[in-house]
Amino acid sequence: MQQEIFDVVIVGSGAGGGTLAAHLARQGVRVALVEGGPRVDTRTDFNTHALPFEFPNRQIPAMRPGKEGFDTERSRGVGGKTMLWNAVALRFSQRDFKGRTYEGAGEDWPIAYRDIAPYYDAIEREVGVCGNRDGLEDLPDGQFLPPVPLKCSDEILKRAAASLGTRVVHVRKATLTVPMNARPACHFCGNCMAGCDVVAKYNSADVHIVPAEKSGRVTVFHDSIVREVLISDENRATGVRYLHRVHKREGEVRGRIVAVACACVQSVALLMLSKSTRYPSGLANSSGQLGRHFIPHFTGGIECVLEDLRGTKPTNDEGFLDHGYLPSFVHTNKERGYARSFGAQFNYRNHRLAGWAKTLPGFGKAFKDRVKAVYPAILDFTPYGEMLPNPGSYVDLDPERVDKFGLPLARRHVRWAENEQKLFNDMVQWSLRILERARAEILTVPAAPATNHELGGCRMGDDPRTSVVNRDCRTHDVPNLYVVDGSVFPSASEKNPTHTIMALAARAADHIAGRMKRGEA
Amino acid sequence: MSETRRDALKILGTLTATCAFPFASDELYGQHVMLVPGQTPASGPYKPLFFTPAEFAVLSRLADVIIPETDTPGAVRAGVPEYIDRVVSVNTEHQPLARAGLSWLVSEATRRFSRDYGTLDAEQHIALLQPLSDAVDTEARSQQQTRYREIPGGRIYYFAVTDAAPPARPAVAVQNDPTDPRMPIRFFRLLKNLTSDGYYTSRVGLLEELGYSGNTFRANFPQCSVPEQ
Repeated sequence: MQQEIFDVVIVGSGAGGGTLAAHLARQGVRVALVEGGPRVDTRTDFNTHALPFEFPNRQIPAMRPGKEGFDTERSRGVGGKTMLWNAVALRFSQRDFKGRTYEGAGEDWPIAYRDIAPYYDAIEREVGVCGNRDGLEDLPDGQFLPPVPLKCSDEILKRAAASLGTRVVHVRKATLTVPMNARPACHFCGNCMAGCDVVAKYNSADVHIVPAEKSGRVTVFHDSIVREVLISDENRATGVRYLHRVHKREGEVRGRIVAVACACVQSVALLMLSKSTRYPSGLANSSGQLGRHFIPHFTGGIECVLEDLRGTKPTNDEGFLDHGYLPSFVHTNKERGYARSFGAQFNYRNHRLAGWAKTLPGFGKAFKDRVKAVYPAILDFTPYGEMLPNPGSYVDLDPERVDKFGLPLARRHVRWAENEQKLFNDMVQWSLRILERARAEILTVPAAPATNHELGGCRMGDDPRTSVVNRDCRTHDVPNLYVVDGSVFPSASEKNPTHTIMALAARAADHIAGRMKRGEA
Repeated sequence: MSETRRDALKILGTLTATCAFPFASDELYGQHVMLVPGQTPASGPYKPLFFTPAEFAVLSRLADVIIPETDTPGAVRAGVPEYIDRVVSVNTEHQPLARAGLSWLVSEATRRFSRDYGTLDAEQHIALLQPLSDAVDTEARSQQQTRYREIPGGRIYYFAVTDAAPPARPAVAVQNDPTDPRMPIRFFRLLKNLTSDGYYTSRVGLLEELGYSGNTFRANFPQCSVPEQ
């Protein structure tokens, strides 16, 4: 049997791959979507509503008994991390795209806000993003569904922030506040980050992939862990080779175009694994830049107790986790002594675990009473900072260790340079200042930054010597190979990246479909 | 300080990057090895997996002193001793300390009060445990204090990340050396951590005591009315 040759083979089915597949299919492109994990059903497979005492060791696993997926980075499931994300959907601003121009630090994107704004619009219209139109220059408004009311704890923080000249706004999330396209509105039940069993929260499987499959133009190859992107002697990507997750046999999927979209670090690892005589250090790495400029967000999470809520009756405000957001504000202060900025997410704790209880002093009835009083008042406050690229921060392959599929593990190297240390100190100071105004008792303060939201490694740029992909997410080296996920970010912003990943994917889809229509691919 | 010395290198290695979810403090203490469901019988009287029946009795008494019965059940009725036994049975690094600590409690009860541990009254328990609890709390506070320094007019939180290696955590063997004079303090911290985690993840602790009220349908999220200040 002649093997089918697809128009586009996409590796990975999360925010990047799922959006790309759907937008291509809409334009008549035939897509193979290759995902390392199984098909998972957000309605039945996750422990969305589980409580710890249902398990002997009290640890709530991601999947329900007998359900597979999300066991390693290479075998998550159809939908990828969007099945378990927190759905924060923020637009980047012009300042985020042009850091070097604004501040002489970091890297400019080759595209500007105006290039991506129409795609932010399109994504908001199709996935549903709630939020308030705040008119902030640095956090552009979008096509929003109504916002979710703030929790009492958010109102307390909002007042505290306002007294310091800063601002708390309604969070913007890809979660429905009104029904849309046969998806119900959020009903504030369950733990969003353990899966949303009604698809009020966007996930790429239900919102992008399954509808696209109905068009007949998207074929999903699940349980297929891609281990190599294939390349011809003519320097063209011809498809991918995969290892089947279950029966461990190898197979191939062929296409005219290949797009790698399997999450930042795994995309870098896949290109590094795809070695050839032409590309001895990894595919599309003639610049030597592959894996460099790894710029994850860094956080400094503080735990505290809001005195105004201590001893009050607990309410069901697990809600859809966080309802508020503290947008960047320090960027307007030129005297701050460092480059770039931070924003803060807060109040996104689910209340089915109280691990903080053991950190309270004492024992006996006094201890028990103290824990009970703190429970409705416990609050987390987590500023997110932007990291600048530096030579000590990169991704590579572990020379020795392999995963259970025999593939080398990816390694993350992160060096906090002076700017990160200064920014980290300042964002924690600011957080504490706001929390003190909010009459919070501080329980724990972080001693060092922690990473989150992995970005960079396949940097986008106009210069093939200093970047891996061009402004259309196409690799400089291979004319029919694309990378479409967070790895292409030249700078990270302090804002959650998923909305921008989806908008980039929609933009790349237009570019790819346009090339195909013109017969260029 | 040179630029290089200011730089801090952190190898995250091959693990998934740490994520703000779940919160570090939500990690259940001391569980590196997980029990799988079905490893313990679902019904019938509990047969300890690690502790002897005598040790289990002391453990149960201690857990109920740490989280006693009030208007809601205490640790024993919440199944905490069983939880601790399960965790310690598979996370073997805790075993020497747990065993040494329980045996120390029994001998202290005899030495100081000439009584069996199980018959100590509330006052005697406090006499025995309060110094340990105070030492644990003082230590936790001092760790927190290294993270800020007082300056004229206030306090500055300071997080210098340097290339100096972080203080090495004592090897498990040292931590659990039963002849260490600080053993009782470390034992109390272990038991408090396990008791707290076990209790507040139990049905009794989470639902009855804390009043967890999530997992319920809400047509609308209520507008908050915080009193204006």
